[in-house]
Amino acid sequence: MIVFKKYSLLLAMSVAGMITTSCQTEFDDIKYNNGDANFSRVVAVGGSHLAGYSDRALYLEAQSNSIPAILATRFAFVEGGAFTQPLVKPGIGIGINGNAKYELKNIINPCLPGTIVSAQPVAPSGDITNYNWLGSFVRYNNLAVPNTRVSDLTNQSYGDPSPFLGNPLYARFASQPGTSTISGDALLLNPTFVMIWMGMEDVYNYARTGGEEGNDSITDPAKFSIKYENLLNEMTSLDADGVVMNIPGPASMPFFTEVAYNGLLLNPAQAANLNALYAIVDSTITFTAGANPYIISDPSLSTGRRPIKKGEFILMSVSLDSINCQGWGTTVPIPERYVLNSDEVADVNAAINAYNAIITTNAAINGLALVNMNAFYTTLGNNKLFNGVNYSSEYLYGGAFSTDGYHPSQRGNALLANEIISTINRVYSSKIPLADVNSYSGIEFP
Amino acid sequence: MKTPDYLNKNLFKTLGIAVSLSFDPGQLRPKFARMLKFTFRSYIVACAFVLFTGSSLAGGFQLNMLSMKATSMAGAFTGFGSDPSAAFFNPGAMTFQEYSQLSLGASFMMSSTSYLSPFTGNTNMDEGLMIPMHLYGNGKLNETTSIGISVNTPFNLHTTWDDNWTGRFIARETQIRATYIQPTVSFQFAEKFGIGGGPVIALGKTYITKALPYSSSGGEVGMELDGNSTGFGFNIGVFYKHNEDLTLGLDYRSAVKMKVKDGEASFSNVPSSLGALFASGKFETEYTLPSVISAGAAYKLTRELTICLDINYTTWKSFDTLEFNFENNSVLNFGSGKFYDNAFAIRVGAQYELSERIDVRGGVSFDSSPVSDEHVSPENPDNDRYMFAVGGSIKFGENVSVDLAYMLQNIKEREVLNSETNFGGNYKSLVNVFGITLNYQF
Repeated sequence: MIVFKKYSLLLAMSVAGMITTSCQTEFDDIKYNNGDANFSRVVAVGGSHLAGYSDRALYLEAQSNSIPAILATRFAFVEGGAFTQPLVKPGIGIGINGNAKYELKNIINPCLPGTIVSAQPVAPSGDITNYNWLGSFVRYNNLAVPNTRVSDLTNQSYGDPSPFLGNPLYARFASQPGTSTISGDALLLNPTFVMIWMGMEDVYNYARTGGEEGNDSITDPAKFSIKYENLLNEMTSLDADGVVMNIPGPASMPFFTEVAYNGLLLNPAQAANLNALYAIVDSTITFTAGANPYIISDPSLSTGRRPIKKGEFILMSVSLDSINCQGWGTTVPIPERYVLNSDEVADVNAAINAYNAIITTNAAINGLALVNMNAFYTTLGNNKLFNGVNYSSEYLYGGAFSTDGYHPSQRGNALLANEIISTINRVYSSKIPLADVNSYSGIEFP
Repeated sequence: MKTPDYLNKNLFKTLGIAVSLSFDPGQLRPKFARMLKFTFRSYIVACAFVLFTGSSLAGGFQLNMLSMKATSMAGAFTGFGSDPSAAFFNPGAMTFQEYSQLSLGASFMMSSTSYLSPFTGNTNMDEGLMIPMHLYGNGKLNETTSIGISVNTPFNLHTTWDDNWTGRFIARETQIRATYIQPTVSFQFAEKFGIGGGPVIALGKTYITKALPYSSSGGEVGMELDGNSTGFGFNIGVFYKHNEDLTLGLDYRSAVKMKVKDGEASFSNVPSSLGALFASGKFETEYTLPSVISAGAAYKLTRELTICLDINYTTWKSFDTLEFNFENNSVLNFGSGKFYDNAFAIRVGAQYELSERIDVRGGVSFDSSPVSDEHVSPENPDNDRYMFAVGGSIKFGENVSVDLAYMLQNIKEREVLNSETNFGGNYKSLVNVFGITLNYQF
């Protein structure tokens, strides 16, 4: 038994030794570096997408996770400096029409028993105290302002707080409302790195209103070219590096694709009824059982109506009540402001192509990295896998777009931020970590 | 770590084991009565045993702690077969043992697994303790015939990640466990040859939780799948005793198809608007546990020192895609691609007889991983592994002995990118195992 004790002690000691040295695993932190770029003073210039506008409004949660804000959290790994945003107050937020943010709600289906999920404003109007000037003491790194076109960046009256003169969402944080400009304010920070996504409003204010002219017309590419060239020259005048984003097409945004052109599903009886009706009004229009194109308004025709063609878009802004209950798209043609017809689609695409050529050329001239958002949105249309989650441009269930179908969700912001980081890493030989997309808030269902 | 509710219930079931085992083997005298009783008792134990649930985690899926004599030689046991665990490792060896014997034991596995995310840095898998148990019996009916029993968990996967970790849409908790119950008969059909085998009754548990990418005001939707399965297979082994110094063994354990029927699917944090989509109900799935072919040899270098060599070949290719089908809700059906490949292991062990009462052992083994880089997922972050083992046996009196073993498994670091989930990063694991087997010979 003495032998046993001696050896068992030896055994116990050797086992204890092995355990203490070998019980735990842990990885060291990954080493990151800023490569050829300097992120100590970063500035973002853009429209609603960079401002963190989501769910039809600027509200605190989404704004806090705007694309530039997410990027700043990543730049922090590579000596990135502080990033200050002109945050709105907590609560219902403020939209460009003075509206509150929207969220998904269960609402009573107006035509059928039961409820449907629909994006509804959380309050009758937005929190207009957000229009109050934030003062001139703070320099904001995120100068992106919803509804801003490239020509607005150098416009002094754009920050005029008087009603109907400027944009109240710039006036609220302009360094000198009515005098300062967005590009001027950007340069006050002496930026080392600029992030610019301009041109969205220049074409999508038109596209999202069904091709309304007037204030919502497409910015002429010739004008866009001059303004954009000046913008990049100005932003790089203090030797900043940076990144610019180009313009994605409408076909990869749920705002344009959620209502399918041929989404009119009819059973044989419904089709027969409509055919009987149209035999009197316009016999060129016929319906079949199954999927049919909706009937849209077209003033260029003597009848004033026709079936929508493939490649034309019915906008998500159309009221589904009107379609489901009031015969829109069947007996009542869908009004023009809810339709982007083939001519308008052609105009939009031509403008996007022209802008993108201008953006590409000027980025190269000024030595800025170019993020091909146009290609990335197309990729998103074909699903983008991130850590087991399949993001897509499908409305609500795709996870990448907010309830307005046009602006990204917070997870969508992270996906776009990652695309920007990937480009920066490639062009500036940096190693900046990507954002964990799934750690941001997803769309909340009621 | 949060303890799932179902574990608490099993504590009582664990107590059931203790009750079943509190019989006195000394009371069993006449040979046949003895055999019958112990077989009967074994079944009671086996049933209690199957209900036992360990608490957490494991690195590998094929378990290497099934008998402490074998474990302490890194599993090189097919050609050695010196204790009742031969019923599992090589039933052909059973009649070559000198005594009838009953063994019962448990091992205590502590795993540490780390994941390095390109997005979030280091994450450690929840640590916990897994306690797989084993029971073997070998009753010699006469010089050339033995009957026996083997109850153990040769396949046991259990991993738990934090509820909010970055991979939660792929896996939170995953458990795929199979308990094999194998009544065994062995014949020595020639002076030097033994053959043995028996049917395998496999009782399986499949438990999977993960998050789904939909949120309600309460948080992300969670899915819990919980199902039991049964499957059947067989085990057959031949043993050749060339002389007192050299023995050889060959064993084949068949594949076992496990069918989960009437599994319970339930969901948490379901938004009312998606209530119809995420409705609790039944699910089914099936998977095939691989066959294992083992060849081994044991050679006595000196009177005291025996060395053993084993080669295993596991047909993991059968573990392909798990299709989960939901009874009333086919929209939720999903497949989880495993795409394992066949894998081999090589094991070398040694036993040294220090005295009449004490043996010491050691061993090393190399297990190749069945999972390639593009198919590794956090449910089982597997890789090639090296295993180092030490241990020994101590005899107390005439009938009782205790086997002790310690094993360290080092699962090599690997960098992966799963092609199905686009989930990538680095994984590495260490597994520490202590085990004890109590033997009673008569």
